[in-house]
Amino acid sequence: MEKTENLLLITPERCIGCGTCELACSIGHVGEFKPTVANISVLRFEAGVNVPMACLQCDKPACVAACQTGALEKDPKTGLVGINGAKCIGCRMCMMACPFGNITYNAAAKQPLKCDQCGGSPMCAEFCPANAIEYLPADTATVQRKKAFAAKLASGISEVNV
Amino acid sequence: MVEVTIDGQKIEVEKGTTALEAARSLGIEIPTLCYHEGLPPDGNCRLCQVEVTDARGRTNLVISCMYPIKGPVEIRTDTERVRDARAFVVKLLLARSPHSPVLQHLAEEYGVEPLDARFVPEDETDLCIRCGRCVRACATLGNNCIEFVWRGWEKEVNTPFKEPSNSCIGCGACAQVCPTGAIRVTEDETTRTIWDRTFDLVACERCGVRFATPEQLKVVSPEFKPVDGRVLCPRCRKLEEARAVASGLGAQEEN
Repeated sequence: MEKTENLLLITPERCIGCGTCELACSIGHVGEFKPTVANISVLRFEAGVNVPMACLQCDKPACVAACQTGALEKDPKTGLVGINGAKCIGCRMCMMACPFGNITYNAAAKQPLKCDQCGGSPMCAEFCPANAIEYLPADTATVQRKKAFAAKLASGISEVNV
Repeated sequence: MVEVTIDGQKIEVEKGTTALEAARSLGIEIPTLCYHEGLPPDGNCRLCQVEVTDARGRTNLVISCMYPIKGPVEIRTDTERVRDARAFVVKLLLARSPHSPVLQHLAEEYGVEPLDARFVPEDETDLCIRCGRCVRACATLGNNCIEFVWRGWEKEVNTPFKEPSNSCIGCGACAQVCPTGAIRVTEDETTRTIWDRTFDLVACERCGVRFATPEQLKVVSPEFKPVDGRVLCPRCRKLEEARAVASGLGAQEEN
């Protein structure tokens, strides 16, 4: 994680559940407002708690381990898990493997879908009105907050071994 | 590095790069059916033919997906000879699968006359062009359930002895990579059928959606499986993950 220049940082405490990130993501990737194909989704809980969820770009990605054709690869420079759609053969093992359900498959386009951080300028962060999603330099402070978020995750789903 | 000329454009490529890869990196379109970037090339469909002139001035038609560039050659992708060769390939493929929309489209592009109606059996439903993409996809996944069987006109892709394969995991990758849509996967709410084998789909323990075959889930490396053994669909995994964060923020458990 420390290798990235910028990090997509999600602060769920700030999320107001408006879903703008989903719209921004889908318009950026498929050219239409369609939250169902967005690579980020806001999960809304009671008491106004909302959690935006996108690919965590794992250090040891289950999806990459499952991919037999090299369509999914972790870029050692940016730390992102990227998709080469042309190499995908549609076995969907990445979907089966991801412990967080952050990768989906578009059967019509025969392409897997996941967050690619828009190649360096994530639309979700740009349009988030509450700054719940930010794209920040990977300095110590950001990394600390990211780790805090990860700890929050880990405490809740200790049953998932990642 | 070798410098090659493709349709008049010069490009430096790594030795061993195929002519197809080099051409595509320049944005030159070469039609392919059996080639797939994620699979080893096999040169079965013969559609990606190009003309290559080597350093000694000899010109040959080669299969660009299987032609590794070793020296400074000149490649031409749109000469009359190339178009003729491709048209011939399309004509033969069309004779095999006259009702394939993909081939009909190619025939139109290469000016191939549709087959005389007398030679088109009305009940001809075979869309398979024997390109072997499905075979290679299955082998790449390590399952090896399908292979070419028989010879000549009777050659086809099938499971051993045409029986439902025991090693098939029902992932459907063969159907996904098929360029002509010849492989059928049928799915209803509780089962998926492919290659004459019917799989009972596993239900998500949270929402009940049936989302995968048990064999598919078995293939997932044990280190990424949930320790408590709960089987959740991707949607519910995401929801559980979010719930974990939400409960950390003080939200009550809901439903």
